[in-house]
Amino acid sequence: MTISAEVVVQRNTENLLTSEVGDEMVMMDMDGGNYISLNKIGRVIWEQMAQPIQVGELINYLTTRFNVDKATCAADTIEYLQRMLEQKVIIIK
Amino acid sequence: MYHYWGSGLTITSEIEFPELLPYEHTGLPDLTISIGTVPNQLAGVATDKKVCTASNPTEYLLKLLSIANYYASGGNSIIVEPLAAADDKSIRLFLLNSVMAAILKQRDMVALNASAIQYQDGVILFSGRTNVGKSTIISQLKQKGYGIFCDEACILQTGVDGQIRVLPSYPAVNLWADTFEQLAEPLPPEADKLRPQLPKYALRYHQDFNIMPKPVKQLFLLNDLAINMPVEIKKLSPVEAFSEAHNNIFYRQQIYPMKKEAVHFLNLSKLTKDIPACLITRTIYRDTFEEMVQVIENQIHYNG
Amino acid sequence: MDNKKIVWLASYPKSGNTWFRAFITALLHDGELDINNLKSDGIFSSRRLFDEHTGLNSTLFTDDEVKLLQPAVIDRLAATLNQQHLFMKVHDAYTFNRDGQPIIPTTSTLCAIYFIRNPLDIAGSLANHKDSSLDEAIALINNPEGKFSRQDDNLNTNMQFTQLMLNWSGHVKSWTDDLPFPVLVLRYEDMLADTYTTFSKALNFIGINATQQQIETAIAASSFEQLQQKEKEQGFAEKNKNTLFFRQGKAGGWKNELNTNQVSLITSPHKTLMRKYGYMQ
Repeated sequence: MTISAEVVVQRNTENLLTSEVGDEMVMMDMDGGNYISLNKIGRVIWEQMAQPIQVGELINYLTTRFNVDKATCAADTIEYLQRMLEQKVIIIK
Repeated sequence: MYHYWGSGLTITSEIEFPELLPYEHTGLPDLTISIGTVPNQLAGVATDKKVCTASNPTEYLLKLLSIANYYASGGNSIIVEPLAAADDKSIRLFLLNSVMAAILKQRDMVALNASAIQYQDGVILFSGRTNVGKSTIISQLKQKGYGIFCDEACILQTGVDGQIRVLPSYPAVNLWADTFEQLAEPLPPEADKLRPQLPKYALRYHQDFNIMPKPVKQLFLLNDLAINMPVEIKKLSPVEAFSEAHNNIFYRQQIYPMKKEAVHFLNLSKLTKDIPACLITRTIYRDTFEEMVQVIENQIHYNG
Repeated sequence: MDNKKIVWLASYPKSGNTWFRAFITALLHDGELDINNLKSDGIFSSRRLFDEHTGLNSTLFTDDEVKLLQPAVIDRLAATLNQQHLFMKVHDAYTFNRDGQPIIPTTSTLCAIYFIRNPLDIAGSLANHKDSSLDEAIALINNPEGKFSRQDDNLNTNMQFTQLMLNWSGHVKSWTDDLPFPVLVLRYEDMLADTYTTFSKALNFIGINATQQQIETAIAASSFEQLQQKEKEQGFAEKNKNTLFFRQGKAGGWKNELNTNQVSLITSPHKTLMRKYGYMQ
């Protein structure tokens, strides 16, 4: 499945351990035994996903918060979310 | 019966362990070491079988050549079965290594390959692979006046205040024969060898051994490369520090078969989240310890 | 399930072992070659390998004890891998441990390729690799208890175990005298003279099918010029110091490097095998 603005995403809390480490986050996927780290932006995204959120809404939030142009933000966010999806850090609702 | 403290545990042992701190404790000991026959195989299903060893989350069996068999179970019992070619020191050395590491994991405790010096109200850790030079570094720092906190390994402990602190393993600094020349110190007597045929010596410091848990003020990860280069120091982000520290868990290969990934993840990330951490890389081609000590001292004072 | 997977790439040091490994790597990776990632699933004398398959710390053991356990370590390595062949580099002579067991386990061994080279040329190459003198290199070649990565008396601070090589003749004999698995002897000089034929012979022997095209591509990717170029660009983790690892590796270079005395120091003790393999009349 691919990420797009209409899709709703949420945290994959099953089998995922998380730990805040400085400005970033480190996570462990208990299933695969993989370690994943989220940088500052990734951490902000994660924090916005305390409840399921539509990707478009997330993009709007990030655009405002980081004061960047919407098109770039949209592209970058979708790419980042896609990677998080592949790492099983998030799921599509 | 002998009573000790070692690696954060109160211990009652049928075998005498000069390596450990004699310690009278009340109530049941955390760990009992007894002499006996070990089971031929694990009681439960083995999640891992390696050459000489079998383990699962609650049992660890080591059948070591003609030295001894060891069975560690429940995080509270080690049975030792000395064999034909056993000498006391060898029996004890191998127990204090992978067998003790298994006991700690069975108790959900996390230990790092690390040596440490005392600093302010806490300690500074030096972590890295076996033989990277941790023990040599703290020995040189000792010559400059720092107090030793531990060698070999330190154990992570979360206090009631939620803060991570560390405990030392046991009161000895273990050094290879060639280090003494570097330190301009005399070679210790034969009797101080860890094992008869091994030119590695134990320098004991029972008098100065402090078993109170201490906060970690700074973390140094040590690395060496087969490239001619000056000593390099690089500041690490918390995530990088976590990753490097994870590579240096005490007997790391035991984590997976004993299913202790989670407790190691949580404790290590807590440790590395807000302490200053640096990676020091040196060349293997020459003795760089003077240089390293300089770099380290500068960094220690820079970090305050 | 047959675990006979290991192809030993055995040789006295500086005899073409690395060159062949570069070729095999290039072959198995469609002509791509990263010299710091040569297709050798390891070296026999690796401490890391021992630690991984025992869960123990090898530095606490004596060399004698390690030799008792190494065969089982290799057997376990073979059993835990999915691939068809495992290429393992070894400089140790084929010897026996205290229990009378060969240190190279028969159970998991498919075959061995033994690379042999004129010891007169080895001397010059060794001196360059270890940045030592020719006399030191000759002494090692002649030492019946010759060792590589030497750690005196269990001073276990090196990242590899001590590799007991015996002297050059002892090494050759140990790997060529009636072993319990097939051994193909390849002369380094033949590899130079006709790379395609010798490498094809090796592939046949191992049981690897490759087209002429594939073999030629891999040979080109692993030529000396290529290896030296890559070494200059990337550095080569295996070499000991700043001297280039991939020297010109010609045959007969010894004539310019060794004096008459040094030559006879080598030919005298090793003439039987030197004659057998065409290095002397």
